[in-house]
Amino acid sequence: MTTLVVGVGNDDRGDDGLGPLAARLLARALERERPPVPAVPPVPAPAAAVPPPGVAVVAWTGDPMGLLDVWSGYERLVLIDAVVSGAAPGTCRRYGPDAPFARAPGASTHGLGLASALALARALGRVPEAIEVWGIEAAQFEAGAPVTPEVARAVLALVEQLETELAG
Amino acid sequence: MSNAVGPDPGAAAPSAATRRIDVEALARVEGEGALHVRIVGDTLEHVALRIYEPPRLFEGFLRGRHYTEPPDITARICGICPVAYQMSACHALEAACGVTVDGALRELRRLLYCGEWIESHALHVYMLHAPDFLGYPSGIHLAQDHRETVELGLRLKKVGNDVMVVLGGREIHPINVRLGGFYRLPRLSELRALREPLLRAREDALATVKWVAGFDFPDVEADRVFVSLSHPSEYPLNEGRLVSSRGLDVPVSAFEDHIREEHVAHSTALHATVDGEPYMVGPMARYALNFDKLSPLAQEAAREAGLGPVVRNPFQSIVVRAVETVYACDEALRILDAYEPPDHAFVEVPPRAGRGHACTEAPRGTLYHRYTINAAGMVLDARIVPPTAQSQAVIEEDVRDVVRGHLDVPTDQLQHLCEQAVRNHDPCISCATHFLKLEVERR
Repeated sequence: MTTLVVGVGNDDRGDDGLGPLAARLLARALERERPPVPAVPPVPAPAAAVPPPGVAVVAWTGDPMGLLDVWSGYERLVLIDAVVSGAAPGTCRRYGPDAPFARAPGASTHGLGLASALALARALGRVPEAIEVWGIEAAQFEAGAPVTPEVARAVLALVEQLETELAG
Repeated sequence: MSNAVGPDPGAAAPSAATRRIDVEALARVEGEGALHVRIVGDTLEHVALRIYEPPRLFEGFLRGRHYTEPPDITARICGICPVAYQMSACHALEAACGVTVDGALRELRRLLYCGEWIESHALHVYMLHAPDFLGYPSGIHLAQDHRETVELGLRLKKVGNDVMVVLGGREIHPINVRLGGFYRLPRLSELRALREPLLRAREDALATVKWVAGFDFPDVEADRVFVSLSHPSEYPLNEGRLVSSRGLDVPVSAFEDHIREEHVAHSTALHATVDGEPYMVGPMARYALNFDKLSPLAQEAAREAGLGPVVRNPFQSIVVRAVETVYACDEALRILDAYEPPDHAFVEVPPRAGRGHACTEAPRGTLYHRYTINAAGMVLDARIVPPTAQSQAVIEEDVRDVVRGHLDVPTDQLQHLCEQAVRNHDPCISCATHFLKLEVERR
């Protein structure tokens, strides 16, 4: 099964950067387990450490509508995004494809947010068969602020969990 | 953006009471604003376009920055039209330094701007504006019933994005623009790769004109003052003189002599007038003042769509926007086909004490920048007048006209018409804030 992991957000807006951060950390972790192609004839790597082919990781900081083209063709989509549900900052929850994401007024400065991009993709029949959305509760969206420590801890835990799952 | 409709006690008996329509947050416009309409009996008493997005204060924090920074800083004002901000900032600062960028670099800037027009216009036509005419609450609902049409629109938008990626490095807040030109020139192979998609985009844009021309438009004729740039040999994007439908024809350095902005209590955006009159900028203004400069193909598309050289029905702005999209594709192809790479990616722009002005044509209309810098290149003063702020008074006028013409329709329908009257202008509230919620009150 081909899987695409997409971390969505804006690096320059505090905890909104958790998606891209998670994607970059996950990409690096998976890369570590899949050694770069050596110049000499390779010694076969331990099979277990090589992530299955067909796993791609993308940190997405652009227009969410652009994701329709990015995730087209994958069978499974794993999205990581910041959420505001009123839970404690850093709370990590897995949502199904039909989670009732409401777009709060002013949550995005762009035409369409991620929830709208998903809804549009569904209307157009351009969504992978399996979708899971990992939402980590954000504490703040301050311009230029780093990711809040408890949110960063949740990112690390999620990356570790996905790494184990995807590398296995 | 969510769209909450407030209590409407008068809806059951509209002629007997105050009718009030509240739209807490106007949907399908860029940024946050509200509209308040109060109708007493059969009389429209009050219309206010209230922009409650917080003030952005960009002009203040540009002071003290290095003169090379405003193109990147001001690009952050808007995720939809960052190229407009970059272009107006570059041209104004280059004017202050006495440098003119021409030849292939000028053409590449124009190509980048075409990308933004295609992207922004396609988004507005398909996802934000078309649902109004076809009775859908959103572009997503439209996509459920008109899958192929929306796919066409998205494909068109993507070509605009692709142009911005090749020239600007990425589609939102491009990073490859600098004073004097670009950090890196596009590779010839990258430019060549744009040709086929642009040819298809031009066909898609022509199909878009035909599609939107078939919509049912309310019969409205509004006599508005139009303002835009005008250039002797080209449809205006990066430069020209400031002209109006009342005969204004001045260099952009005289912008502030004719355009006045003032605070109104109900809005964080300023209201602008030209020589004392409210006016509008954007596709309808550009089109009316520059029809003869459109490419033959774009002119033909307009004529086939039934448009004359001046369009006065604001609801038909969607057709004009589609015609401009044809033009942007056509112009991008012209630039690609004639392109000869320049020797350098940029020309040097050494600082000198001075003041520079520039207007460029953002998708939503004329965007003015003015900077004063010192000999060391420090920004002493900055002024930015975005398109939506300029059109705001006319948007209110349009809403007044719609309400006056439809006093007898049920409040929910009236509310929809009012919202549509606002969306006709593709307002960018984020930019104007220095800008929406709809309230119709009937007594």
